Amino acid sequence: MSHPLLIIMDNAVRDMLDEWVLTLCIVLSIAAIACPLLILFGLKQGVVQSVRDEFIKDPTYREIRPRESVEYAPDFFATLEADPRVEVVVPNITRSASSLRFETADGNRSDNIDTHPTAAGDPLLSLNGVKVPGVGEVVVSAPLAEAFDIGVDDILTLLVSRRYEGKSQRAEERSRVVGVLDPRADAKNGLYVPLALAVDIESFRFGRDVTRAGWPAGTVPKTREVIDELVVGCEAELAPGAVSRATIRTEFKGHRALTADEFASLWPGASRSDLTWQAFRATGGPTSERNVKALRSELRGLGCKHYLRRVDSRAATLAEGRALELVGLSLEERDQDLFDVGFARAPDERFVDSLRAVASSTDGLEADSMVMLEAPVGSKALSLAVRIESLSEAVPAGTLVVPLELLARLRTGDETPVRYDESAGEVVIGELGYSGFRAYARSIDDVPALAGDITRLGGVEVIARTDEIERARLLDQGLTKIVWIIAIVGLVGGAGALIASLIASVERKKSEMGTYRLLGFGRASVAAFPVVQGVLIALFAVGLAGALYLVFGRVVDEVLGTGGAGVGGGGIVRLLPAQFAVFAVGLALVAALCASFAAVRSMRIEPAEALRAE
Amino acid sequence: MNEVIRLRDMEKRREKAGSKFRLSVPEFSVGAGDFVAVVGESGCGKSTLMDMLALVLRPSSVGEFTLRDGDGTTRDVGVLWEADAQRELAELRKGQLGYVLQAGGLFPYLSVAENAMLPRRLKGLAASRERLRELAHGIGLVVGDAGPDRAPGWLDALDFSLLDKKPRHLSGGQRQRAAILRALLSEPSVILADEPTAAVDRLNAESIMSEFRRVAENSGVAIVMVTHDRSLARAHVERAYTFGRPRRDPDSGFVVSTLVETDVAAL
Repeated sequence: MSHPLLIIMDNAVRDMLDEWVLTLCIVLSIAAIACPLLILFGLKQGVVQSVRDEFIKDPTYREIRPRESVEYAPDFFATLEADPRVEVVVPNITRSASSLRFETADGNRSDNIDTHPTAAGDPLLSLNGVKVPGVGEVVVSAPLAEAFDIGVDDILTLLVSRRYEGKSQRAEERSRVVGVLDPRADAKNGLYVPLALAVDIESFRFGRDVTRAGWPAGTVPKTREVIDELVVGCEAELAPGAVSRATIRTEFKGHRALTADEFASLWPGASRSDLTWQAFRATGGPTSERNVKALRSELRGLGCKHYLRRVDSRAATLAEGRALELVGLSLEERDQDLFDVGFARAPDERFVDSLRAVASSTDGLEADSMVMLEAPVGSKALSLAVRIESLSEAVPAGTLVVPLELLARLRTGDETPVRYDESAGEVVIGELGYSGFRAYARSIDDVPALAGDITRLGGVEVIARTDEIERARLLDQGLTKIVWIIAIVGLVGGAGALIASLIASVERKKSEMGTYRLLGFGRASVAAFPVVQGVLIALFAVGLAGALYLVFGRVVDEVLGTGGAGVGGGGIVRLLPAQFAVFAVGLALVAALCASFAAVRSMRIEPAEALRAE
Repeated sequence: MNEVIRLRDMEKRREKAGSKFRLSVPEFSVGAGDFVAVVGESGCGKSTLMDMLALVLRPSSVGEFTLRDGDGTTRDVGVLWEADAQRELAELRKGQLGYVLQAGGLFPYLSVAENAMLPRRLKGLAASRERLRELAHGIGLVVGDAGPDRAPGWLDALDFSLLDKKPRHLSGGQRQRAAILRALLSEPSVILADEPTAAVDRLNAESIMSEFRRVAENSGVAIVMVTHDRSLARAHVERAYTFGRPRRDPDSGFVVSTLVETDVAAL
């Protein structure tokens, strides 16, 4: 070993060993600062991690669910499930339709119990050690199990009731209990059923036909007739007060007076210039016949003769791709003189019977022929076979006049999913969408932001345990600040002691440093002397502090009753080996920095110092 | 010319706290194997001269300052100072100069053997215990073993068992011997000894001086010893330099001390 730096490093170690008492004192003083810091860091991490462990073990901390039942846009669930922060989404049914009774094998019958859909990956069940129920299976909550003495493998008969066409009906479903859910997950009486069963329960409750063995048949709800506007023809202009009362007291919140031309543009062949026409519009979305009656009642005695129902026209496409506009016009007897074309009003007419139209004589269509139309309804398109009853010159080119009832049913589809039931000849309400959900974030740290995003995405307020998570985050932040303040104070003190010790050592060894220079060692080599000593002192101190931490960490755990083994183990005082290594390296770097002061001092020692020493 | 060190017209001026001092060296030379004393009282400039010879103090002006190394190459120290070539000067110190310091200068945490071999390690030379005995024998030292052909010298009293001791376990005389061993084992061209006998008793001092002479003769190393002890120097050295009485230069105001070669008998 002839390199000057290596010789100096070797001699620096020998010097420390030769003055082992002094070395031990400074090591002890640094360890006395490092050990409490390690315990402090370990305690802080243990406290925070214990809280987080509770959050992680309990999936309800990651749960986000809507505050109320609403209908979601068709792509809502797909968008939510695609979010990388979301672990799983379990849809939910309408709360009002989710309760049922059950009967045990012993004949005990329950009151209405809330039913919760569950699906594969539901952490509420899986993290509590309960199997997700499959077909013919059910999970019960612990309070319910206790109240009715239900255990695993017991058979329950689920009882779903409804009133249908004036009569009470009941469906029964036998299910085997496959698990009892921990009260921490659900402290109330509750049943967890497969999602398909929950959806069928909801559908049954809404009077729909559910294809389950033994369940009474129902029907599929028809779409209702709705209108966008009521066009009123009166002998004179309505007073503003009358208009105000009409708009305030009905759902027709919008009002405009129509000129003759404007009236004529609403329907083909419309003309009656001797009347004043007002359009009352349902600005909050299409409204029902009930509001037509209400408006008529408000305008009684004001000389209003005609009340023409109107649904916004709708674009449609012929099979060959030609675009047409569907205009709905169905008239009461008193109104039929107003128009050259139109259909008699028939609100109870089946949809299939309203698939007829009057076409323009210039559109090249043939009377008494069938055309296939594709009409956009909501997010889909319906294909309709429409019979062209007749042609008329009064109908503008590119227009089909159809019964208002047809257009009204299609208008329903803009608000609610619909489908065309061929056997019934009706446009009926489509599959019920989910009206709620339980979404679980992958990490508790994602919950606050994810809850906000779901609110924006679904337009619905959500419930999530963000307050508790935020409290834990603030606890972590607060403890981190406190620990670091204490650590910095300790480090400053320790650094001061180390700097003083090393500089004093250099001063004591001034003649030796000068001798090194005299013998031919360079300034850099001599500067390495205190740096090597500083780093070694720090490493010895960290080693000693680590050993003391292991001992005192256990003591703290014993005193607090939290058990554990300290580094890498459980217990409230918790530091991982990697964190300890980072601490050691950090302290060594700080020591090297402290030693640099002594190193600078040693570099200034000239060889002549050796010649001056006595 | 076998001069190892040659100085001509060298001066060092110092101004400090109002006082002005100038050391003047018109002529100074040391040859291989010479044992030369520089004698003077306190404050005459001995230390200043020693610092300049040790290449740790830059002269204020120099006409000629050369140092011949072990290969016979003459290095112009004046030019190195002019260029402030610190690295080269350090190399010269390491390679060509050995030191026997007044207080010994041993490192307290190294054993005597480790202290003795440290300069050799730095120079990359063999530094084993066996090599230590071999070298010591080669320069006339038989550490711990006088041998049948020669009366034991004072360094022979450096018992082998002491080689593993730390300096604090040695007497003053033993420490000084260890320092001399270190200086000798580094195989320098010149050994600079600064008051080597100041910390030892008279008997040891005489013994050290005798050994210096013998080593110089046997090894060819030039030894320059700074001392205030005229009688000791008179008894042992071959050549001597002294400082004349300092005088004040009326023009510059400097107190001037001039080094001159002196007849040893006149010390």
